[in-house]
Amino acid sequence: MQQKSEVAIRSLLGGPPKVVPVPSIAETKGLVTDGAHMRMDPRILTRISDVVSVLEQDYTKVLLSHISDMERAYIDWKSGAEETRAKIYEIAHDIRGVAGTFSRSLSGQIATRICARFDQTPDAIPAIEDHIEALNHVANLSPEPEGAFAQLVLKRLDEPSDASQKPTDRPAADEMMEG
Amino acid sequence: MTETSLTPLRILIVEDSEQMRTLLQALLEAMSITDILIAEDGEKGLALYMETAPDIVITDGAMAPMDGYELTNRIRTAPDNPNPYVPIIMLSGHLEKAHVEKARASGVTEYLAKPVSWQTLYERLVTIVSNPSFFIRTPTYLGPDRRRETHELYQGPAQKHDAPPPKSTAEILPLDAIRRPSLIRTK
Repeated sequence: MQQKSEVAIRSLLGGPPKVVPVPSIAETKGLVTDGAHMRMDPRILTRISDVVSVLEQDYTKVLLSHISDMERAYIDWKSGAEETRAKIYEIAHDIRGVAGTFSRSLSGQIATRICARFDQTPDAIPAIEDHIEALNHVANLSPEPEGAFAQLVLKRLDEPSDASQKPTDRPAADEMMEG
Repeated sequence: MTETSLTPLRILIVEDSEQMRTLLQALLEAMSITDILIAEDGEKGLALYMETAPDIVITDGAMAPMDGYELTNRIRTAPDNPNPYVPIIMLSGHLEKAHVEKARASGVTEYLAKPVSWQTLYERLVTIVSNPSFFIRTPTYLGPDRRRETHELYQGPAQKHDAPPPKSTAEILPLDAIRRPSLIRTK
């Protein structure tokens, strides 16, 4: 049975797969001699740690600037600017990808939740006021909360909130509230 | 064993996030790598790759107009590419099964989750530079051989029959031990 399926797969692919041995870069670039194995350099590990520490300080400013941009984009959306959807998602996606590397894991996780809400509502901007507000608070703390408090923040954000709305729906909804 | 000097490497970063580009460049420089090329999307990355033939590519997954998956596929299959076997590390915030499978099918060497741990990135670079690899070429796929490695406890059909056995335990330590402790060879 197994032989049959192997035959079927091979005929589908047009023949047996070819295995190509590729020499190591260390070998081709002459980084080692006599087949010696390479290992991580503890001095480089220390240096990288120092560099990340310096970048962490710069990143806090960048993160706060990103959050301001996100707040502005969200306000624009409330005014009916539909193109801001992509802008908000882009900023959240950036924070999600980078924050954790700079010891800002909670910011990254909040941003991940913002992205998830966008993914769940492809045609609208989800209600994310609470997320932006939480992100702003957390980003202004150094170090960021961890452990039980961080979990509490995330749990609160995961609770169901108002349904998302399309920008064009918003004025009507506002009118209803006012009326 | 010898401590790894990565200085002679030429590395291409393909990333649309300015923040991520800055971070990656700083990390590579801390590893004493100075020959760093940067592109902002897959299309520019592919052009730069063909022009400069880097030793390693580090790419984001989601980018426009060409994403990291398409970039990987094009590097692996371009007929005029002098090195279709170049190691490609994909960094992605998308950890869903479909994205991982897409990356695997396109032929990436490593798929690392964002946010990137700098220790993991360094460890993977040393591993990639240090170890020879095996590629599988079929009419529809060119990429790393992902079958299980030869192991005395595994006799199934998916092992690397063609892979040479290690000469000693020391030959595969310490990096293989960090990556896949369950596959440490004891003979």
